[in-house]
Amino acid sequence: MDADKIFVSASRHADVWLETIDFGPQQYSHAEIIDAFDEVDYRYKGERPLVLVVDDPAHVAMALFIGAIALTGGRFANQPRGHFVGHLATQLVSQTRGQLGGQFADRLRDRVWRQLRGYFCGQRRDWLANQLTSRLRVWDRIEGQGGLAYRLNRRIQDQLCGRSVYQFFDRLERPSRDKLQHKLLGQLEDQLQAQLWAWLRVPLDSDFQYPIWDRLRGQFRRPLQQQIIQIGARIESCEPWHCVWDVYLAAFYSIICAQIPNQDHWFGKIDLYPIYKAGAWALINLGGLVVVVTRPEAHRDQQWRLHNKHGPAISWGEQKSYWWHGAQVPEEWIIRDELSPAIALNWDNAEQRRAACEILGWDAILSHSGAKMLQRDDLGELYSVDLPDAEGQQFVRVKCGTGRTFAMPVPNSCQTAAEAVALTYGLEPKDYTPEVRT
Amino acid sequence: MKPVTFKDCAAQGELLIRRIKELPKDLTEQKADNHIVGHSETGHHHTINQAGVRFYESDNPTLCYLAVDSEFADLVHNRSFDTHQTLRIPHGIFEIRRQQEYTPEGWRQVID
Repeated sequence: MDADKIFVSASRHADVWLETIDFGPQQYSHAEIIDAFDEVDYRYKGERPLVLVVDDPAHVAMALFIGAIALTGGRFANQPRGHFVGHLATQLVSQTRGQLGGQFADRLRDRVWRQLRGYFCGQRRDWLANQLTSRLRVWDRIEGQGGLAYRLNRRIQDQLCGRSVYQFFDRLERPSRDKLQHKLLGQLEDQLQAQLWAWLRVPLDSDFQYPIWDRLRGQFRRPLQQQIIQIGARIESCEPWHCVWDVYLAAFYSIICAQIPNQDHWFGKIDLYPIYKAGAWALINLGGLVVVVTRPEAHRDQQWRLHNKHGPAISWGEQKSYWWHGAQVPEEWIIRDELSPAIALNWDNAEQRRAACEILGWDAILSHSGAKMLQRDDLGELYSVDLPDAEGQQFVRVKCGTGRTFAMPVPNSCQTAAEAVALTYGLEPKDYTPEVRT
Repeated sequence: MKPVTFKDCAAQGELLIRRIKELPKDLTEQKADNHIVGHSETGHHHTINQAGVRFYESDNPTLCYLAVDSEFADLVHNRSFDTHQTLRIPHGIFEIRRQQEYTPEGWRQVID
């Protein structure tokens, strides 16, 4: 196959995946995601697994627990409870020892992320790469240190490491715990045989599960920790179907496989696209059990910047994050009327200060703060504003090369906007002579 | 977008680049593949990522220096939206000033 054909094939393939990579402002149906597993061809990797779907990555621990009980239930249904607990613990440990390898390892995510970004960023010249890279950059912002996804992944990893996994039930309020359990059980009902389902309802509907959990704490924690420690060694050889896959990783391998159609790469033969298209973000695959985390809802403006003026721009289960045209802002600025001109103008971070001024509106800022324009020239406008703790504080209002308006506090001795702008660079006005400003 | 060219002085966001005749003494060259010329709390750094460039920090955190030994060096703003257009810095020696703002406690570097 010549290079052009390979590329066209890959482009078409990638274009299809783009639909799933675009997070949209929508809720995803658990039932549709579970049904999508029926569309996967399992000829290459055994039977259809049990599927549990959670909207909040923090709920993965409970899903894993319930799923593991469901997987082992049939074998221990007729044994006394004490005996059952001991066997269940052994079984869970055995399963996790064999199947948790490679999960939520930062190294894996980082490695593949670099691979993915490097692969596409190296082809900037064509439209496909441009489209992908723009979306990947959006993900970069979500994914970066301190970003929502990063923090959530850390939470999941913490839980799987055992440090907080056994505290999970304790932290969840009882009504919330029951609600989550009910939702997860509801998903299993259609997937389990009637006999097994009937058995499962008994222990899970009673308080029996909590003593089980107590007993498991000591036995569950250490093997999990050991597994996480060994993840590094397993990354290089991890099998795609037996670890954690997110939509980007799946897209990447799918596209790569499309480019090398003659290679016998078995993962390329399992088309996971329907599952991701239905709303999956991550698949945590333990072989007989898959926990699916749905994609976050994301709201954007017309320029593809994260933005929602009425609520969170990113919602991931109970996790919320608030953005104003690409700048992350405190929740109270968006959903509560707690932003004042004084807060906006005194905010330390210049990007967030700009966002605050835009949220309030410049007209409101200037009229409600009693601002007086002192002078105006080619570089901007010089204002005096009476703030609660700083009467007559001067600001220079400037437009940057991107066309956005910023307000910067300057010394009250400034006479002109040009002088104020030059001073912000430690220069006299005569020395501030940029030929271009971008 | 094509990089924007200039001769002696240009601004990109909170950075001001000015041609100077020679580098000050006692600077320490910063060795890196990707020089972060302007740091951003949100990761939207202004960077130079190419060979033929020497980058120096100074004792003053708002002042750094650049020697472009090659024909040019591109100063890139790493943000996918509201992007400051790339500046093509010509061959030569430059000082880079990072913008500050005034507070009752004194000047502080602009944070974004």
